[in-house]
Amino acid sequence: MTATSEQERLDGVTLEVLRSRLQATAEEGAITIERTAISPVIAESRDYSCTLLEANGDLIVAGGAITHHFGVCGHAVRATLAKFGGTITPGDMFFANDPHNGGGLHAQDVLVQLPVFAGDRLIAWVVNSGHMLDMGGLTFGSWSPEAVDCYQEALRLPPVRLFRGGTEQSDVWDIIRNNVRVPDIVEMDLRSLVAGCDVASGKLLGLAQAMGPEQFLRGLSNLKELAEQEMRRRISALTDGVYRYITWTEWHGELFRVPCTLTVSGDCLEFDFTGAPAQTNHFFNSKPHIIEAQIVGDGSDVLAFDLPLTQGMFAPVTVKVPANSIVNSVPPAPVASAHIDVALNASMAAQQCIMLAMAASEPFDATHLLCGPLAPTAMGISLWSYTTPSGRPDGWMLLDGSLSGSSAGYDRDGTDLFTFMVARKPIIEAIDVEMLEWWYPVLTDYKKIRSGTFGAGRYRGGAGCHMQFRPHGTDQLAGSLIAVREEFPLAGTAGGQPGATTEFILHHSDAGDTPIPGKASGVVVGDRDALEFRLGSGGGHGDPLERDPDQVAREVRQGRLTVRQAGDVYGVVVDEGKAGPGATERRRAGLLAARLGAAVPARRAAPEPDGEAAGPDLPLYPGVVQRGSHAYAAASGACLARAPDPWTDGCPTIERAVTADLTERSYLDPRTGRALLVEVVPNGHGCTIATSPARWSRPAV
Amino acid sequence: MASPLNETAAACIGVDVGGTFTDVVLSDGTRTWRAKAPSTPGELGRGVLAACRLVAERAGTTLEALLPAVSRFGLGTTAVTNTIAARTGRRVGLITTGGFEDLVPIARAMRAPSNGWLLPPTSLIDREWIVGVPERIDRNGEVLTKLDIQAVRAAGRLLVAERGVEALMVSFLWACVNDSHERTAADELRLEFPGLTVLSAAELHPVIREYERTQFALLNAYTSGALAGVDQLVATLFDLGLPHPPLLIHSGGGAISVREGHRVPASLAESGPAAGVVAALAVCEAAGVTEAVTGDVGGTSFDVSMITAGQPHRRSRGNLMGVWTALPMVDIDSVGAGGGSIGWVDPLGILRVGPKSAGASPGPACYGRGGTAATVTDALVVLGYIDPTGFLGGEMQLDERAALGACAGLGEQLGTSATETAWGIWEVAKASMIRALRARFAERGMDPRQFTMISMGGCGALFSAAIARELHMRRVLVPELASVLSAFGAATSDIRRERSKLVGTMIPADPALLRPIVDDLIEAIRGDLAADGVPPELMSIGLGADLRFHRQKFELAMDWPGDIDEESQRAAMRQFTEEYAARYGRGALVSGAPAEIVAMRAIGAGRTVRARLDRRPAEASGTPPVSGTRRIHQGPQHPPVEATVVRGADIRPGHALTGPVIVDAADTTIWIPAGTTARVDEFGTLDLEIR
Repeated sequence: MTATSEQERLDGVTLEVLRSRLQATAEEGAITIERTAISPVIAESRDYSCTLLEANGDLIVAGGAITHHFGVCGHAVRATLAKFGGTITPGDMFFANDPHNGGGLHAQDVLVQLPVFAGDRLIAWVVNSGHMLDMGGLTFGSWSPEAVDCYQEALRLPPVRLFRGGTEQSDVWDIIRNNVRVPDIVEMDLRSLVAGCDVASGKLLGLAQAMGPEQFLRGLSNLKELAEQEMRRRISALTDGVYRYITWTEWHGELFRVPCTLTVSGDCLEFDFTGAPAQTNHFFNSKPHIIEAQIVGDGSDVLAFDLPLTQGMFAPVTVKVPANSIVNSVPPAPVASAHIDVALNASMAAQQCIMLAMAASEPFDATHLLCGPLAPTAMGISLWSYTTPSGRPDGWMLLDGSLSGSSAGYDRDGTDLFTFMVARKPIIEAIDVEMLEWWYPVLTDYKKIRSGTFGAGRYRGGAGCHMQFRPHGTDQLAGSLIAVREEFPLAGTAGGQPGATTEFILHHSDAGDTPIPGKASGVVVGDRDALEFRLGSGGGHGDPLERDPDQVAREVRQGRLTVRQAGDVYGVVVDEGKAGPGATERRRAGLLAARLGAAVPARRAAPEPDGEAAGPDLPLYPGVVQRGSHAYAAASGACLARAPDPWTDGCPTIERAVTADLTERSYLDPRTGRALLVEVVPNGHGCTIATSPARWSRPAV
Repeated sequence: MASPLNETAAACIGVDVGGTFTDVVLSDGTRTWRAKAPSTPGELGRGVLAACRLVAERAGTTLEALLPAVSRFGLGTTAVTNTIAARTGRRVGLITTGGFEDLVPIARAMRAPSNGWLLPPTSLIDREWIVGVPERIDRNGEVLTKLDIQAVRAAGRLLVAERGVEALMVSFLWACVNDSHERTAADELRLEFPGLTVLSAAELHPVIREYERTQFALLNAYTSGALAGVDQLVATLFDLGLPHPPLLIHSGGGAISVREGHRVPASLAESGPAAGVVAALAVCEAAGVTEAVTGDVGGTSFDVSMITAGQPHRRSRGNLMGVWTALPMVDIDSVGAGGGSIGWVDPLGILRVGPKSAGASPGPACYGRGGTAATVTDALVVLGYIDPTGFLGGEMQLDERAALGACAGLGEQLGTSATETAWGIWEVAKASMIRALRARFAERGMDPRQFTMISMGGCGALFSAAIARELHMRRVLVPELASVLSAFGAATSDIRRERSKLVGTMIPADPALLRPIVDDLIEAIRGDLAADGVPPELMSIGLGADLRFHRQKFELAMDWPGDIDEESQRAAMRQFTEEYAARYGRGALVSGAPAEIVAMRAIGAGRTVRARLDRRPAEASGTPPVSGTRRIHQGPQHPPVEATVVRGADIRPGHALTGPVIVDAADTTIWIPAGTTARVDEFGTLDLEIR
């Protein structure tokens, strides 16, 4: 806690002016990076950020799109301070890229850190991060699924000086240049981060001098306190209790359980990952500072969607990660995907816990953002390298692979080719086909919205990108694939169906088609071959049998669904492009009856209480309410469970095999057959969600 | 209005058709007259002619006598703007490269934040109206798959006969490098469907990035029916004796012929606001101001633009009413807070204003045309800022009771009195204007204290002083023509045409390669200017280039120094490096990094007969005569103030005023709050010093 007391608070106008100027400073640093960098990952797709921090590393505000960067910068500054402490002087600039030692999300997202001095007093930091095309290691792009320890992955630098007292440390620059495959590009991009630091620090210093350093620092504390107060106020709107969401990270069928338990207590949130497995030799081990940054970033995208992310939003949040586990690894654990597979799943599960708590609470500022799981885990990025005519290596990261479809919201369809539907800012923008082909020796055969029934629901999930490309102007392309979801799809919500997984197919001109595992390296696409990918997507919301039939007919006309899929999945009978109302009604009634006929009886059917159901309907889950000490299906009034049993216990279930090892399970309204929840689990695993507000787990008698 | 029009001089008329009012300015070189008439949506000409008749009358003549003497008739129109904003354009069919039909709906995965959600931009075109055909050209312009012309015909027939499209456009990948397929397809479709608008994206604007190129063509096809009203007006004006064809004002702040407007209607999308900025530049020049921000409170929106170093900010692509497109334009931001914006109560019980507007019809409640919703204008009447008997110089009587009634009605939902509600509307409208300006400064990293605010629009000057104070701006200029500034801009802008060509080559480039590109551009611009009626001796053509380090995304747009030989290229490179280092610091430079000429550009200007601001000696002194007082309500926290009222007609260059003062001019009202002083300069501009 800061020492500033109430009476020292600056007036509201001064604070508002300071806040808008700080934001402008960060944005200007960010724009400088975007305008001076050359790799499309930064310049076109915006994988960079400019973060302003207090002298101790507390986050002030940040610019750029990658919210996940913002939260890790404080960790970097604290590591730099711990190492260099009193020797830091004006004109110094630091570099770090090892997540195990003062770095950020992974080795490629380097952090350039500039201390800002007013006179000889350290008053702030500017930390810029951007994705470097290559940082050395086993494969081009330094993102190899094959690496089994961090030593193979990349050149890893602890906090070191890039500039000392304003003088460029050419030996450090030389070490970097010497270890990366595309030194000119990396140097140019690295200098764009330096330029962004210079621009932002100049503005920041001007701001501090105009206000006077004392007032400036006080203003920073005040802003932090205000943000924390508001974050706490919103957390208080959540019903106290325990909420659980379990998900899995996969490695070619090997499953790593990521269990998140949220305890809401007053104005605090605690996310506990106890039960996460031990660290592995696969590249997706993560780190506490990454997990925390992502959880607070994604969580506050919901709770504080209308306020910029600042340190004050970290204060009410605790994240517990067991030591030496996949969420809290130590060397030699490989960490090239430290912010992707496990971390994104952890953050998604944490955000779904918040959604569960929100669904069980009375409406407040953020309730309108109820939404299914964040879908960045449905993406499938790939990295490609080739040899230029002059014999030098070159390559790029194909960010079209990040265009997975988002999960549906409680009142709207998910969006196509976009992973974050609820967020403060769009993260990644796709590049034009012409820009891709202008820069690299490829030809795109097609690029479209994937068709199919995945993510079906009253509101359906969005679809991912479906694209195929081939070498054009080079003999071959060699690549690494890093799809997160190979077989295990994201679940739906409130009866919506699971989304799609990511698929890669190599089309050989002579050997036919070969599916390639989602995580692979050394993939070679030859002169006459083509690589196709279909990206995954999030789940639907609500039972598909309740979707507007005209919408379904429209999607048949657009070629998104076949007539048969419309009938089988949505119960909509489409004839000549139009939905037939009578036939659809009959078809849907038949499907519901068939479900109940085929269902396994409820685990623990709750007897209807005799006239006891007193009191108002309190929210429990979308479509499920608590009345007195019982849970009911809101639409049919069927009694589901008696407190404190999980409401899902009262639902008959239908199971369907997704793969030999994975099961899709639907929980039905015992009276109507309507789906209340559809999830995917390893065979035999119990329910993946739990909602236990205090009023349910300890009901008043 | 003492001396009548000098009928021997070259008269200029500028018209701006806005959402609510049609403004007109008439100048004979020494004097200026102005008038306003209600806009007539769907029948643009009626409002324009009414406004022109009024201005002729004020100049002591008739429209029939005036028009033959008019050597310049400039027209800024919202016809295209309204079509885009209201999404009432033509149903457009798009024929594109097979396999890439979804690129327009995907919208390059752009998403905009909206109340916590990230939403895709609304598309002008339904996926069902997009058809792919076999064809493919690569980055070198080489044909990989020959165009299937049968498929083009079939696609055209499907779109026209079964999907009912009203215009067609073709946009193929890499047509910006080799347009042969696109030309062939468009020609074929024009033959097949005579009378139907058929556009080629590469022909309209041959820039790289298929999404923006396609969107621009899409906008043009979409708005291809929007100028029907302009054609009617032109015919009527000729019948009435106008000797020269009118000029339209495009989004880049220049003038073009009506024929060119038909070819590229989307370029007129920001016509009125761009004309306003051109006029604001004239005001700045006269007052010796180089750093300014313009704030235009119109009927439906608050438009903001910036001028630095005496130049308006421009951009080459951007968001046009929710449509992302390539389009060279003056950089103007809009928020939905204008005189007609409606006050309403949101589900949380909080008072909001706009973006919904009562427009010209029914208009604010106080217009007495059947509007019942409380608008910003109603609030201004209730608070005392606007004199209901003196609106538009007394030509339009406002219904104060209707304004009170509307505010009272809204107040019932909030539990506040009519006056308190009116004050709330004023505060909320003001706050959203301030937010828009603040965001603008923040984006550019600029300090508002260095800027002068130029107040535009009929009620802009009621807000300017309060806005400026909040942003710590020290000076506000209210031009005499504030309420009709866009119309003045339409009368004063030069003809401006711009063409660019994708080059994509490293410096130094072979001059033999650049020469034909530059020659073609200059030749084409010369033709453009000639087509707009500019005689050769009045043409001036400048060259520009977009430079960047190889593979960067952003270019620096620069004037090209001299010729295109290697020496000039080296000079351009030096200029680029200097500019780059100045912006981003020396640390951003990699020695020896190759730079690229992305595009060459030719900008043609044609000097035309144009209106100028009148200059009169500052012969008055002291304060102008007082015509009365008015009670201004200042919200529940403060007692009302009795403000001195001064008539606009009584103000002369040299006069000084000290707030609280209300200036009631013919078509604009100015609020000078307590503690603010103002003086009237030689151009009749009210120069406010904010403290």
